[in-house]
Amino acid sequence: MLIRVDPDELTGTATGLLADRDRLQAVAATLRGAHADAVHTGDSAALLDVLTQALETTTVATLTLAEAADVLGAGLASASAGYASTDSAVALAIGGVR
Amino acid sequence: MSTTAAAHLPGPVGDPERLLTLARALAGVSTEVAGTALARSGSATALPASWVGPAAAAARAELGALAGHVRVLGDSLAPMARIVLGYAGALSHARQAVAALRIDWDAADREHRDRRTRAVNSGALDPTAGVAEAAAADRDWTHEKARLLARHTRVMTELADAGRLAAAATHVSAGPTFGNAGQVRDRLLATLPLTQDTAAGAAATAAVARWLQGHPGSPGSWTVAELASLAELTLTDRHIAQAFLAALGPVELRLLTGRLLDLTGGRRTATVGPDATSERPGAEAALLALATAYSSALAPAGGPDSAAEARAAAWRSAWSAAVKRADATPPRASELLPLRDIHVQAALLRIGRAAGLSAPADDVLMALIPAVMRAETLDQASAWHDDARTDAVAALLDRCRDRPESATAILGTPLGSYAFLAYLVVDRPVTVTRGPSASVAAVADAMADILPCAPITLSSQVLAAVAQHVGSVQATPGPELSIAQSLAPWRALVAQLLLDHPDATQTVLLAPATAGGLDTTGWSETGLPQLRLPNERAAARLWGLIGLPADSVLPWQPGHNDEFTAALSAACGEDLLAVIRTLPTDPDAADAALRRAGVVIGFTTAGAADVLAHAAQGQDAANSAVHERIDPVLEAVKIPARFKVGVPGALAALGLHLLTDAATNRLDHVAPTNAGQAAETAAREARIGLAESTRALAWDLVSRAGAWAPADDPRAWITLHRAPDFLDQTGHPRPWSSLTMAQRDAFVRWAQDVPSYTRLPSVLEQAIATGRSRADDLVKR
Repeated sequence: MLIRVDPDELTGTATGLLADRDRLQAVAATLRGAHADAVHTGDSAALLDVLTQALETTTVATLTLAEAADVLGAGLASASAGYASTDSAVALAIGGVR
Repeated sequence: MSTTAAAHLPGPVGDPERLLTLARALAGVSTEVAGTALARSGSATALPASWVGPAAAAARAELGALAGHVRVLGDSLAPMARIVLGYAGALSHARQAVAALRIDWDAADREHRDRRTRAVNSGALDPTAGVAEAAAADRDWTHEKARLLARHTRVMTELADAGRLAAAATHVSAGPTFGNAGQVRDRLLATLPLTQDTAAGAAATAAVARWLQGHPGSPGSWTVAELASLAELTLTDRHIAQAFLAALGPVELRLLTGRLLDLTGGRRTATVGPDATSERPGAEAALLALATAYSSALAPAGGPDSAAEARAAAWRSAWSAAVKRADATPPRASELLPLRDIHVQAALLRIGRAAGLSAPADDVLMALIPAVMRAETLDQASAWHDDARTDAVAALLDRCRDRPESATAILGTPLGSYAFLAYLVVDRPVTVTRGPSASVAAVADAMADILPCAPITLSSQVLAAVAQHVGSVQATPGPELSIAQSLAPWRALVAQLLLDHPDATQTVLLAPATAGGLDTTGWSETGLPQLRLPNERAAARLWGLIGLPADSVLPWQPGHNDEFTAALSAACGEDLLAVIRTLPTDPDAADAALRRAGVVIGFTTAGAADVLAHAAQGQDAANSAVHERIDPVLEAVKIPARFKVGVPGALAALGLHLLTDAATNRLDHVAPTNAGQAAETAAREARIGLAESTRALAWDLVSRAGAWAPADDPRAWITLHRAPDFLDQTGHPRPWSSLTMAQRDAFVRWAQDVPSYTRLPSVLEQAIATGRSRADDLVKR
């Protein structure tokens, strides 16, 4: 579909997404480091288990979401920077991110 | 604090300070997550509102899902921080409580020891009192220890309860949200297709890169034994397959495939070594692996309007462009038997089809067509030309057979011009003489398989291409081929097409033509409906399908003259009528108009009759089934309204009417007798009917036009002769078919003295005979 898209209109979203990616990656690093503190739950094995699992899960989730933000942000940034301003070109840009 | 107290009253081993650090970290990351643009705005609204299409919808959906996940993440982290903070408080409290208990323990211990000391000292004076006092001190100490232990147990129990509550709260807060760590990535990616696709592509590229590290050197030089390890790659996976093809590139793929084809082909060349026989099974397996990769990488992905398909199409487009570039590069010196990329693609297509693999998307096949049209002519001397596996035309026609809905796109390439179809039918038979699908019959057979399931428009295009082919052959200098010779391979197909889609005849043969493509010699006189066919021979070939005697049949019968007259009157309509109204002032113009119409009628209906006669003869062996086959065809004959406008269109409509009419009559004779004999009978009867129907038609036209001199007024003649009234309300003679016998007698007696009623029927009859003769002459050539 050859509906024109102003590349400048994509830039803001791309910038925001890439900033989100950085923040989420920092969050993931913090969560990963927090595992050492979680073992200090003392005698509560139940809490240690669930807390450890939650931290692992949220760490992976955060990394995955950071990856998604990266894919979309980089795709939109690429589209806004160099591709023809058509929907198919944006699709190509998003699909072309590796 | 004594070690005894610590031993009896163990404290919690956790560290509240570390837990406070954890709680602060969780609170901090929760704040960070909540501060992302995705969590704040949902971000889908940040995309341009003017952006629409599959990619826009996919990006918007992806952003919406991503924003939702980020918010959930932030929402789950903040409670976790509070929970950890609460537990840290409970732990700290427990540690303080235990410390206090230990102090009490030590105090009680000291008190106990002091009392024992005093009891010992007092026992020196009063042994009995000393023993009693020591016993009392021991009892009190025992009691105090029990009390302290109970309090310790209570503290520790409360801490354990706090831990369980915190665990439960944590589970509620974060546990079900994302599942366990092993599943969370897949669960999230399942809702983020763009990210999932990208991640899968990246993972596939890495997997293929690892595989390639174990197979150094040019792929074209890989041994068959090395190629066996292709089984380690999941080549049925689209991403793996794309990564593999991208890593190889078209050139290496060509080298590798060419060598494998050489090892597995029937012929033996210098490139095939003594181990060829033993290597053949491995080479065949490797070829199948390559075909699998080719199929997986280039097949459609998702729905036609999905973003996944848009991305897959982008990859396919890039691949096709790379193939095109590679095809333009000269072969390497190491290629003893240069194989073009188009032939490699054809081989992978055909091997894949034989193995039941999915075909690549149509756009991939359409991109191959320019190379096919170029390479076939250039490669007539190539050793590969006799290898059926590399036959690109056969591969493409196979795809059309398998998916008739693809046939229009493939044969219509490029851009709906049907240049590929014209190449197959018109140009290729002249230039391509080698190869399994080189014969016209092979293409005609494929078309016969494809067309019954393909859109009707394709049938029209095939008819037009065949007509163009005939024109080309007949116009080619040199030994003249008879029409029957030049069109023999197409005869059955065209006959079937005309039976299946009689309206295609109208579209192809009778629609007003553009200036281009017309052979203006002979037939295309000024004012006549112009035929789209390049020349008359093509028209005769298509209409007649020939093989019948030149004086075969006429398509109308006695008993159907009324229909014929009515049809022709209606067909000629006001256009011809308007000319005849000029009869008193310009009789030559009326003659000329009627003559032109008559020639077209004769030519058209003669050709149509030949088509039907041929069809009828073809039914001799199966007369019992004739009606079952033909009746639905006749039912399908529809005349679009747009063809009823104007003389040319009206005559086309008339042709179809007569086609139906003649077919019905002929079929009445076909079963159970010989169809050819029936056709001859119909011809004799038709000649009798021709004069009557033509005369009646002309009479009706003159009557409707009122084209007689005032001195010939019919009302005055009827009154004078006291004859039956044969006039309508306007004072014009009624149509011939509506008159009684007495009225007809009176009309004939009046009309024989009116010039226009005597001259115009002769003009029309002669013109129809001329047109029919021209068609018959063409048929005989």
